[in-house]
Amino acid sequence: MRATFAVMRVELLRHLTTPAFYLLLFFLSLTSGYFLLVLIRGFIELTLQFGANPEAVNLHFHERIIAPLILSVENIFLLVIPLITMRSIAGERSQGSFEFVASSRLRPWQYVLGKSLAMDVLVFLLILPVAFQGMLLRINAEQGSAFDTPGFLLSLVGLFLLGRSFAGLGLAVSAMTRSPALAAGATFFLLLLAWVLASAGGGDGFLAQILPQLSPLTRLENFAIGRFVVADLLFFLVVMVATFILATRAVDAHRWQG
Amino acid sequence: MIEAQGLSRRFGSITAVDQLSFKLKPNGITGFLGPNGAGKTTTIRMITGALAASEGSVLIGGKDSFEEADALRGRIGYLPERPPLVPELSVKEQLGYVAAVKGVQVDDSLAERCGIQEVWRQLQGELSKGFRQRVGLACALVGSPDLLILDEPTSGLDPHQVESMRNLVMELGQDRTVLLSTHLLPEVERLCEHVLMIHQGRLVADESLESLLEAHQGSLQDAFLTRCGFAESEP
Repeated sequence: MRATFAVMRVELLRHLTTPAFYLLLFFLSLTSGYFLLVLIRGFIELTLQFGANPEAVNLHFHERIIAPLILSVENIFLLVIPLITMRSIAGERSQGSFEFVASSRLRPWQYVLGKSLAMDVLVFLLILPVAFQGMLLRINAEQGSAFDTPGFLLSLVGLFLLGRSFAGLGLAVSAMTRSPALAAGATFFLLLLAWVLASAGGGDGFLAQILPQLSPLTRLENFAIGRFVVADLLFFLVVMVATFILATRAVDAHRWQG
Repeated sequence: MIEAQGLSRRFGSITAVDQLSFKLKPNGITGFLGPNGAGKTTTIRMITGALAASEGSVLIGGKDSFEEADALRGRIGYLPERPPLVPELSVKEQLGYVAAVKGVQVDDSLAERCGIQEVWRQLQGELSKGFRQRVGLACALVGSPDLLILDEPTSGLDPHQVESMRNLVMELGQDRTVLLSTHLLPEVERLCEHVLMIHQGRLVADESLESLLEAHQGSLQDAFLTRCGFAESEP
């Protein structure tokens, strides 16, 4: 495990000692903050308009502000996460530092596990701005207000699982190429496919019901409204395990294909 | 120490290494010569376990380089032509990383031996070519490996750095097996006792330097051109 943690540490240093990650974090903070302000403004207008007649419209705080905020961040992840994972394994191969790993007798799963643990930390850092925004709402909420703290924490867990699934896919793609740009493009394309799958619902047909369930974005919806569904958790875990295996196989394949 | 048995590697229809068999005894420096594209780096990557052989095997200290990789961890030090350094790490962090992966500790004397004390805390992305080579060599030496494989260690260095690196390699060859892959014939003549020569994936020489020079009027260049089949094309 010492070797695995060494890989994790180096991966974190590679990301956290360069401006790129902080620029992405700033972009995410700015964008999610803007969305939050828009959502709050819209909620205030609704409250003023329908406050005397709350049955006319859904004024549930969590569903009007927190859930849309979480779902907006998932769209930001579509852009941000491929830019992080592209530098992972593909970046090492293009820099030449992967040669050491290849000849070091480090097992592929140890190497990928180290990278995956680093992604856990990076995705956690990415959701901190959203957590901070929620904390600000919680602090400013009046006594007895409708801010649902456990629901919000569950939303963050869902967002972490989504981000981590995206990162797992990005890592697997990054392991298959030595071009970081190609890794980013391919990951973005696959995540876009997931977004299309999520939008494929709405009809009556079998496919219209099944296809959205195959998308990680659909699986975030229950978490976003503060509802825990075991099937959603299992889905994310399956995606993470499957992409881990894919990445490990891709790294191992380098020894056979050259 | 190293024994290659019928080692072959194919990439699709191209045979990069074809039925290579040789044996290197413990200690001493063996030169590994060949023209560009001869299969030197491919052979080296199979010895280090970074690349699987299509056929044959490499035994290091009696253990298969690919099948018994765990047992050989830390026993092989490899300096590729392009040192595998992480630019965002300092020299100290890089050596710590290498030591952790190999499952060993960093020897305190390593920095002094490789002449990298003055850049110990500097980021590797900022190092000159010469220092990058030295740090790469230090990484290869972490854990005091029995077998050291150096691929063009003096490539891109200035004359002073070349001399310094050669002296270090000579010193290292006194107590471990060194396989030195290089294009520089004077380097082989100065440092090596034994020579392996490869051309188009096949071994064309596997003998002592003395015997090779004796067979070619004392000229290693002549030996290289003749054994690699270039001599007939000379005007």
